[in-house]
Amino acid sequence: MTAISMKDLRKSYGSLEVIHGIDIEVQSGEFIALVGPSGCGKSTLLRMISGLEPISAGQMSFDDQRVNDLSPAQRQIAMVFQSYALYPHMSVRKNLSFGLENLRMDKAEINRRVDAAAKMLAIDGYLDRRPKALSGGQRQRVAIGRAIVRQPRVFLFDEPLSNLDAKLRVQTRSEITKLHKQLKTTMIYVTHDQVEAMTMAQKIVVLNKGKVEQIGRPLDLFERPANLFVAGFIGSPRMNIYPGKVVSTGSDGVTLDSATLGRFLVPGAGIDAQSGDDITIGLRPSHLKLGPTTPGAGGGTMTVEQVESMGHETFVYGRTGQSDELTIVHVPGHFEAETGSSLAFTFDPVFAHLFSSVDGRALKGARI
Amino acid sequence: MTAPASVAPPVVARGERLGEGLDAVMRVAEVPMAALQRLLGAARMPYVFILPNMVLFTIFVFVPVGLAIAYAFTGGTNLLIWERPYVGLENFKALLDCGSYLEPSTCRYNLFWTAVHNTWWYTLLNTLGTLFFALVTALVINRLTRGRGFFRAVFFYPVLLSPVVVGLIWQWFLAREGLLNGFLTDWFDTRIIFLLEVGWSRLWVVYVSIWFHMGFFMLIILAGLQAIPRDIYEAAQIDGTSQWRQFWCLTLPLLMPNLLVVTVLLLIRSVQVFDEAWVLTNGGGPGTANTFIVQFIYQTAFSPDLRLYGLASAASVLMGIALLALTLSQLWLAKKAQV
Repeated sequence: MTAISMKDLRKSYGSLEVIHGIDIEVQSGEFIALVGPSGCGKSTLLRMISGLEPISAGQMSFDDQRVNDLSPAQRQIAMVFQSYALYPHMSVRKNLSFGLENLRMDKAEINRRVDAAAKMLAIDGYLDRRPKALSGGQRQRVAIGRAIVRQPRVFLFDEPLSNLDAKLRVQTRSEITKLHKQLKTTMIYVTHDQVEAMTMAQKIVVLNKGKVEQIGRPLDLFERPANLFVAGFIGSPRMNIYPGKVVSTGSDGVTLDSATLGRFLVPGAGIDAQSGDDITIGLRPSHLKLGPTTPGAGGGTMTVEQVESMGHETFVYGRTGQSDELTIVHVPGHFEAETGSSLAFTFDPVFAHLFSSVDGRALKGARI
Repeated sequence: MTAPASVAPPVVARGERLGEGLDAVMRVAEVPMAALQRLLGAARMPYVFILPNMVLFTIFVFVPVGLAIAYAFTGGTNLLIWERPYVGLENFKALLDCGSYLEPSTCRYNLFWTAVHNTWWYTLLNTLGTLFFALVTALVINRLTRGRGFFRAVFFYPVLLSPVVVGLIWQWFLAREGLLNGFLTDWFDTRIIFLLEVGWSRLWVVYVSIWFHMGFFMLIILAGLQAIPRDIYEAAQIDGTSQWRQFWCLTLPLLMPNLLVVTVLLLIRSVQVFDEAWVLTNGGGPGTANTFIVQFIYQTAFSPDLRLYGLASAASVLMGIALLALTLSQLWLAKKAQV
């Protein structure tokens, strides 16, 4: 088990800096996920951890040992690639043993490790096949097996599930989580899929444009996003965002006025806002309810544009006033509404997230 | 006061005009094609489209091949086939009449077997040499981060030259009073008659051929190298694989389909060697040191004092059988090597 420390880590291509000073501490045996939109630098950061990408500045340590200048093999990491990166001309057994042969390991020990990993991943029936004779899921397990047999200090996963179908993705997700519990090795997992990050990781690092936006437990990010970016990125469907103004502040909370949501009091002490401040209000789709506004609650009306029913839940998309963005309401169970019809919605202000309209930083989180 | 607005002429993009022109041509061409399709039915139309090519192919390939086979069974010096007597397998028997195939002087047509021996050695050295240098060059160019396109073009450039030009350039370079001997005289006070000494002339024929054709094969290998996914090498790097083992265990096996194509093409081309070697060595010299099979066929058929069309055709047929065997082996090996 290995702890990883990244201090002011930077990566530049010529004069273009793409990773702008990242500080992350990964505890020994921890499973962390790096998430962010395409081009945010998460894969580059993973490759810097692996040693495949040189570090331009800053320090990376494994258990207090500086590894900046060590090769991937010297770092004793194992990586599972998005494309699996299996050796296509070798059998599954050879794919698993190839790395161990490089270490000039005893043949009996290689066979023992390969057989154990193959059994653990249920690929022991395909050891003599070549990768092209395997399904996507089986290939992925071979790639994981290749990582396991080396008994690395750290496992790195680069979007390993993105080539699998939805059902297999859910299955492999739980297998990787189980594997982490079994091996207790430090794992760093890159994904753009926040559901993967939320369900698998103990800690999530949200990246945007080569910077860390927030690090925290999955539920912390959901309940208390540090800024508008994290609020918009974590949670599916995204958080509803509305402009508003602070009318008054008091010990019981702040009173807000919004063209869409009306006037309401957001309870809570110590909210960093002054009367007259412009403010951004965030509400999760699951915190909006269809129905007329009740006293003390906020609410508005929307014109229905689209209804997505999944059977056990429904998402209603509608337009509110002048807003460019659609309001999304989560309705448990099946629900039907005519496109163009008008629906009232309401919410409990205790669930409102507040953000500064100036820099997007969070002024208040929400209770779930 | 505001300036009067000028009326700009309508701008029509050149591409747009070209498109309209092509549309008009297609509309005209469509009329007979539509009529033909009504007459023959849609299923027969593909044959109509390949007909012009097949006609040319028949005239310039099938008919000459058929004629060559027919000539191989005839004798005499008459050119017109209906004036030539049928001799059965006589020409083949004459060519294959040997005391020992390893010793051309024991053969009835010892020049044919000298040419076969010369072609065999040339094919071996040229194939191995070109393969080696094309592979090394492709590996080096593949690793370049800058100037890859430039060097690819530099190495490919000789392929664009005419074989006769290549032969003449190198003859000028290697001649008794040539550039290389000028350099040797100035710096080492020595002179080598490269093209008149058997060993040297054979070496230079192979070298010039490698220089001439390497770019083409290098490009095929380079394409193969670039088709190997980068992440396989990254996985190998993480596995702690040494550079040499990466080359031996990953690059070479994954490149095998390309190397196979290159090898068979090289074998076929080597067996067909003629023009640049003929020009470079002034007709296969010194003596018969650089006389190859195609030159034997050419001289046997077209030398004014020989005109043995039947014998030349029989030699062509034998060479054709050898090339067919090489091509079939390529297809078989390529199928086997598919990853």
